[in-house]
Amino acid sequence: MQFQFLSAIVSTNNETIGNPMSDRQVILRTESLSASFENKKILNDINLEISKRNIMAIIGPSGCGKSTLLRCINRMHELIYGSTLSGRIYFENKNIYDKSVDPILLRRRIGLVFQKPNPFPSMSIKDNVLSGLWLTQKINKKTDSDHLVENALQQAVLWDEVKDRLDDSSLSLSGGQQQRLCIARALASKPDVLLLDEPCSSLDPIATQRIESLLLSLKNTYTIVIVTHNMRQAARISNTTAFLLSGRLIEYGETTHIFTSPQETQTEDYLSGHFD
Amino acid sequence: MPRYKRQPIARHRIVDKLFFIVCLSAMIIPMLLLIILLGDVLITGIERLNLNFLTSFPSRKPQNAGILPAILGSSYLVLLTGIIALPLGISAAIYMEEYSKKNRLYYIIEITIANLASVPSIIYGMLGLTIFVRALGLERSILAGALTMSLLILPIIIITSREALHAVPRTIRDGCYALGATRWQMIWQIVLPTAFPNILTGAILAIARAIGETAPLIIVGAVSYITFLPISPFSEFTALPIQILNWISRPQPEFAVNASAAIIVLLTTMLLLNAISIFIRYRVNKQRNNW
Repeated sequence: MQFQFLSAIVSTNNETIGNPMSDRQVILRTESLSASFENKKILNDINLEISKRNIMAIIGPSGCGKSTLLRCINRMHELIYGSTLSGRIYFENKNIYDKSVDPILLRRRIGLVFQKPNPFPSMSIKDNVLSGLWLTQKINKKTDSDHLVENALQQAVLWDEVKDRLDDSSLSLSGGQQQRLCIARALASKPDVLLLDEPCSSLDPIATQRIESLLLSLKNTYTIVIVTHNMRQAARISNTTAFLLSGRLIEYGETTHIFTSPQETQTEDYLSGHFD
Repeated sequence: MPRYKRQPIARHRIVDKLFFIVCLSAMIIPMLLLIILLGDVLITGIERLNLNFLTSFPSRKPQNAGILPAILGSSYLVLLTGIIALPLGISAAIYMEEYSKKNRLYYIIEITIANLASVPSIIYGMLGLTIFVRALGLERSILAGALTMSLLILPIIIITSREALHAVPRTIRDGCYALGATRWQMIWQIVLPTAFPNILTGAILAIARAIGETAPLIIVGAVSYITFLPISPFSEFTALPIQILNWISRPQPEFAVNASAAIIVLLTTMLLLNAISIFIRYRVNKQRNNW
């Protein structure tokens, strides 16, 4: 039942977004990527292609390595003490684990939004939006930046709610607003790729819906990779879907195909809820 | 309901009451003693507390004696101590929390610092006497006193600053890295401002401790009778607690009154500092209510 329901969502989705994968340029490609933490293997031989200006959903049960995959893509995984990694990730045909690549510069091009909203507590709403630009020295604190703040907040559909209190503490916002603020913060730095790690897991349906429509509106400018536990969300917004299970990439492809006619029985079991 | 079923509950209620009374008196008795003590000091000293007392030099005549050099000495001492100990202590805390690998050496250092925080202050006095006064030849100067005090409060500053840094959640640091910040930027622009109120609270409490400490100053040779104002870090000096000690040890009862008045000044300063630190914490907690 569940499965058919998801297929129905996909078919409507397909009319609104559907763009065949084949037309698209690959921006990110992982090659036999394995990652572990304290000798425990989290990702095992992942070979995945992510195309440009596209929303890819990564689905799979808890602990299957979805978040780790995201953290590998912008080289955050190596920040955790006790973590190791092997394999290659090509970003615009350059291996990001090459010695010549500075992870700091890479992260400026591949933004990451976390599961739990994490606005900077010491900063106001406005300063939070600009923090990425300050940190990367694209602007300094004297630059007239009002339009940048407004743009980013408009994009994140937060502007109308906060335009009168830009100087308030970022913690005066609700959870959903904080998450949109974090997205605005990531967008303000104008990354090429936006990674989102279950951005809606702590949000109510209304906030979730706002963020989904936000992502849909961004897909023409950014490459988006979203980890989600919510199958319906994956079906609603993504063009391509990858299914991970205990550290292995079971399959990936166009969302329509994955949700209507998956190749692997494990995928079908997971999507239909017969999974144990 | 049969009586035997009610009995245990009745007994529990009595135990409950008794326990409440024990806890209440455990709180009230020390408070009462403190209030009596403070009240006594206040009643004795308040008559002597006037502008003249605050702006005069010590004198053989108790009614002419004042605490001007002691106030200036204490302020000078605390200022220097702060200038020396705060940057050092906060930097050490940053190193330990943000840079150091958590290996065996790290844990040895951690335990050592915790132990140092509980070393009696007179030991620091001896250390100061040996190193600063004698070996470095600073004599009985404010600088020697301030260096000694800095050693004394360094462990406290390191521990409180480390706790403050540690309280900045991992998610905030991750968020900062994800924007493409270097570690230096992460620490300087995000972690420190976030931890700042708690670091400040710890620093104020440490400074308050430095104001009240007497033993190390006696050892490093603060003088109690002084007829000039300290002008440079190398001047001889006196401090409020030293002045109080000196007056208390005199036989004339008038000096005891002077001592009480000086105690009021000292206590007021410390209470004020504590109040400021509590206020800062309160303000920030209110501002960041759902963090």
